[in-house]
Amino acid sequence: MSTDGVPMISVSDLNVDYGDVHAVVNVNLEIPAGEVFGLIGPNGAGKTSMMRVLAGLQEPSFGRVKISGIDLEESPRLAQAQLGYMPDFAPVDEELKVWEFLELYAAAYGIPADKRRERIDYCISLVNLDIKSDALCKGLSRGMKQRITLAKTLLHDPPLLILDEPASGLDPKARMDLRDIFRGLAARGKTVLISSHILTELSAFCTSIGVMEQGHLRVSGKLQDVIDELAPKKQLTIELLRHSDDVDEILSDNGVSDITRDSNDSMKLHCTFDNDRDWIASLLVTLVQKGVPICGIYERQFDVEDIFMQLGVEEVS
Amino acid sequence: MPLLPWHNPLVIAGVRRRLRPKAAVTVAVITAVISFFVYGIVYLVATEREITSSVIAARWAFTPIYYMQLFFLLFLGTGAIASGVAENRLEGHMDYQRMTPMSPADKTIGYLLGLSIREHFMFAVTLPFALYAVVAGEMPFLEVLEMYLFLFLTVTLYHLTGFVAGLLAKNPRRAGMTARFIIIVLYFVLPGIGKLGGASLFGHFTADTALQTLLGPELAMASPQSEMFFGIPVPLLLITLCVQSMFIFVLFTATTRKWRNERLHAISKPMATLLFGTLLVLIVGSLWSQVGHEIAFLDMETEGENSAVAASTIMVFSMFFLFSFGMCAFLCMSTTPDKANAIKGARRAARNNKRLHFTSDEASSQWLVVFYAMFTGIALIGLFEIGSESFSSSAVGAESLLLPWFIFASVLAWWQGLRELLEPRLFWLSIGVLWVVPIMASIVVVAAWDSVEAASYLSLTTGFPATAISLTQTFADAFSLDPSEVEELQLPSTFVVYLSAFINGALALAVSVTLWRRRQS
Repeated sequence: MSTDGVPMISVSDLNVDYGDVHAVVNVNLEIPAGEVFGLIGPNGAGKTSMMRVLAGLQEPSFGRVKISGIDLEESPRLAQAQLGYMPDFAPVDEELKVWEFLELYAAAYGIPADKRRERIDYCISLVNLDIKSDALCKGLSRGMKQRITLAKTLLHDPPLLILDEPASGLDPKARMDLRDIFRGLAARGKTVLISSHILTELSAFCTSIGVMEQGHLRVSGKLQDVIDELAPKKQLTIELLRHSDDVDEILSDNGVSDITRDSNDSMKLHCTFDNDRDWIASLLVTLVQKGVPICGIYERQFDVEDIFMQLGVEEVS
Repeated sequence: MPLLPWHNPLVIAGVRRRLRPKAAVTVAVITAVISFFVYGIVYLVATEREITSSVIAARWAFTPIYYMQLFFLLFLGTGAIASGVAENRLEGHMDYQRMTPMSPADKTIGYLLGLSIREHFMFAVTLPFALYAVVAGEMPFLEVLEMYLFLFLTVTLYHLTGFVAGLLAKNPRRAGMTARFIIIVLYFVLPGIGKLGGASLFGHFTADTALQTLLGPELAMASPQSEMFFGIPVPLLLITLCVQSMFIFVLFTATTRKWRNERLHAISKPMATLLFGTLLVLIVGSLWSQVGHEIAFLDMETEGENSAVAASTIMVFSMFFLFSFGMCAFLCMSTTPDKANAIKGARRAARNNKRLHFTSDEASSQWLVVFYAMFTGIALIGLFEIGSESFSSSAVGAESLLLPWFIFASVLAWWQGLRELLEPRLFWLSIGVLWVVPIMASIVVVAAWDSVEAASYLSLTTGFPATAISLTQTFADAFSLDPSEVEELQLPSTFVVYLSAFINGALALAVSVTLWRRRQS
């Protein structure tokens, strides 16, 4: 029920304290509808506290949260109907079968009895667990349990999904499966707020990001805007076939600065430049003409990991 | 409109979880075998050996079946609910439920029935045996039905207690144990202590009152029908209904608050105030007829009637202080914010440029202490005035209770203050050092050396010995006891009372000033 122009999530002046520990400090954030927002930060940065507040499961020390324009404090039930929340270690009811577990929540969300089975089957198929529908939850792998929880989160078809470290503890295959499911959900127009401290997990499909550290939201915005903001100079990587004495001089003459050699591979040079991609093509021609044994040249794309490094955020896995 | 239990998804999930066909058949067979054994050992033995008639034998068989049902529902059911709720809460299932649009009432009912569904099933399996006993025993069917309605009222009360225990406990095992401990306290300990002081009120937490009142003659039990309340005979079942309904209401409100937000106190300050007022009225009403009379239950071997009445009166007032303090301390601790929450509330208020509302969870509960102390004082005066009709001396007035009341209020004040000032762990450590250890040490001293005086000095901060000494002296004077009788009691000097009042008063003042200074900063 997203209204045009109204952000799906609006957070102002949010603070969460645990005694003398300030888990979330003065966070202001707006996430438009349809966005896939990655909240990144090291362990203990305040991501889970913030997400629990957004899901209405925890009262903030102060601050205001609106979900799709509905004040979470004033109308919690109405606001919560707009969202699906999946915690990091999402529990399933071990003694129930998969469809029984989902039916419990389908009924709790008020889905009419005659439409329940159809909705459950749809959600099970969304997470690719059709064949396990009749299995007891306790016999499933961790990845499958995560997917069941995701199916539960989707039962009432919320426009907003809040996913707290959904892939934590999963093996690479399960993580990739889950990532594909998230991609599919984003393509269906869901607004997704996803947190993780595994950066590659997010950079693949987030449209915007926020970086949290020690309770502060250090930076947030569209992924490319954040990258542009934090990476004022573009980076170029040049790979040589063998050692060349002249390469540094030739590069300097062509306007390349900050030339460094890769610490792991001395045949790889990193440098910064201010020009466009045409210039890279002409630089390649120059290098070849001057006999530099070049085997690769490419502009290095800034990613989420670089943003972390740029911000000096520590303890990133 | 609340969901019907068989439409409640939590109940349906409970059936699926705990009563799958294999489990149901096993439970049914075991329960039926036990029921048959109990029934057989009483009914068949009595009839086949012609010990009594088949009608009486059936009635005899009804009682153990009834207590078995009570055991399944109360003991096992409450434990299952407490540990189930704790498990659901700690694993995060309750967070899922918290986000669903089901009403808190439906969620609570769903959890209560869903988690104890197996125990309800066990109860159902025993019903044919109970029914046969009723028919063969020619017991009045309507009374039996009414008794079962009261049984379910009690079961609801205990199951809700288990639910709240599960919401507060740190792990499922501890929750189950706590719930069973509460059952023992409410069902056996509290009624026992209450009887000792003449407060029969606490007997109404059990299902026994209904059994005795409704089926006493059939089951060869004493069958009291009414109880004196403020000197007026009131039907016992009415009191049971009121007391249990009131607690069910309070506990249901507590669960609703916890559904709204897990971090909220189970009892709000206004609810605690209401509960305190109601309980105080019930306690005073219950003790009203006992003051100035000998408590038959005590059956004291005293030298004269006057001494027995004096001893009973001391006991009644001691019980009043004990229950009042227990009640006030419990309510105060339940509604006082700990250090972290008090600071959080103050920060929020400062940020929003608003004063914290005095009833909010994060607001100080000092006003509650004042309220509790004030109304306890009024109740004390009321009881004293009633008792004064039987005093031998008219020289002893209600002002003689000022000192014990002051000690009571001071201890309550410093407990409350410490709760608000300190982190929970430090608070309980302080209570241990200032309160629990002195009591234990003084018990050892009395048991080992018979030194009441030394014990009194050891436990000055608890206020107990000082209150007891003060009450004993007051009523010894009021009933003009023989000095030799008083001497036999080996009472410590009144200096202990003054010293205890001074120490507790100073503690209360110091804690209050510290609190006030923190608020100013």
